[in-house]
Amino acid sequence: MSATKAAAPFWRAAGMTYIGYSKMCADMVRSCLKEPYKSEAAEFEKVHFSRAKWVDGKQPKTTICEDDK
Amino acid sequence: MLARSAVRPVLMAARPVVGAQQKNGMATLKEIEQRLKSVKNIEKITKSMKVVASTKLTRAEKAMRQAKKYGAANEELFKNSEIGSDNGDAKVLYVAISSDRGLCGGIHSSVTKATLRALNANPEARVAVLGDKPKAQLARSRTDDFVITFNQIGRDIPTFAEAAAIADEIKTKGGEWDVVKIIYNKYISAISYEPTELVVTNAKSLNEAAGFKAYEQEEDSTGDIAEFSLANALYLALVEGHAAEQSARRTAMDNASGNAADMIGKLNLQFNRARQGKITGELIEIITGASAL
Repeated sequence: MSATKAAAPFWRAAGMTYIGYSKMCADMVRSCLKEPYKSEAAEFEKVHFSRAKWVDGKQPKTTICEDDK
Repeated sequence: MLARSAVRPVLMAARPVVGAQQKNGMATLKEIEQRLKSVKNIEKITKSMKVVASTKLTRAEKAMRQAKKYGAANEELFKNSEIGSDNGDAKVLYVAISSDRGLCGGIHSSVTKATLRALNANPEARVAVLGDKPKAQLARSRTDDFVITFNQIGRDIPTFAEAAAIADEIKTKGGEWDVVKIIYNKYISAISYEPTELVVTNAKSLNEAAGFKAYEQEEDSTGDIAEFSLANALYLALVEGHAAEQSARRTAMDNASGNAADMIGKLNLQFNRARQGKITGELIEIITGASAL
């Protein structure tokens, strides 16, 4: 139990969310794969969408969110 | 003639000189031929769109079967923790999930209608929208309730990384919510879908839930599981919505091709009749001319 207790805070202390942390872990594992599987698995990593935050019924600007690598 | 050309300049320009002679309310041969050609082109387009949608649908269905497992894990957690039914003053965020592309039947408006119903029932609630189509439909009356919108998603099969990123955005930029309700198209079969709600609660209500204490865990990981279950639910909704959209597009394009084929048949008949009529007319003219000699 003490191991998890010691391990838990470091990413939280760095201001990461759980999802961000688990995504990073998953990316690490994927990057360890060998070639035919590696590019296959890379498909799961791609992120592309755009976002707009609305304030008082207006849409100030849109931001494109892509794979931040 | 002048008045008519003023009202329908385009048609008049397209009409050949011969056409002017034999009009009596009927479309001329040339006109029918042109329409026939354009309808044939449309049929070709809808047919190929249908084929594309069918291929995509097979892949989307496969992805959906895998994504269902994520949803099942969520469901089990919420079922076992026995979260009490909504109390009236909970802050609710609706997430309407659809996509950017049209030509797929009523898939977007079914989500929009369900969202509007929910918003009318719960005026305090706000909404986050995924996809240009439902955004445009909801923007007619509900821009004040928009919190955050996303688009350019769902072109291909959505990935978990995307769902996670969106969950992160909603968490960090969308404000604080007690309950997140995801409205998406549930894929029932290849020909039917239904707008459905997925409910995700936040860490606080998970901690208060009766059955949740049965899970052995540390205090601060409740927030993590709430975050993760939001990503999970979003992933399921995105992938299932995608599959429903592809199947709806396939059906819509199938119907469009069928209608085009009907139209082609009718126009062909009309074309042949008009051509035959013209030939008969010419024959009569020749024969009467010859007999008058």
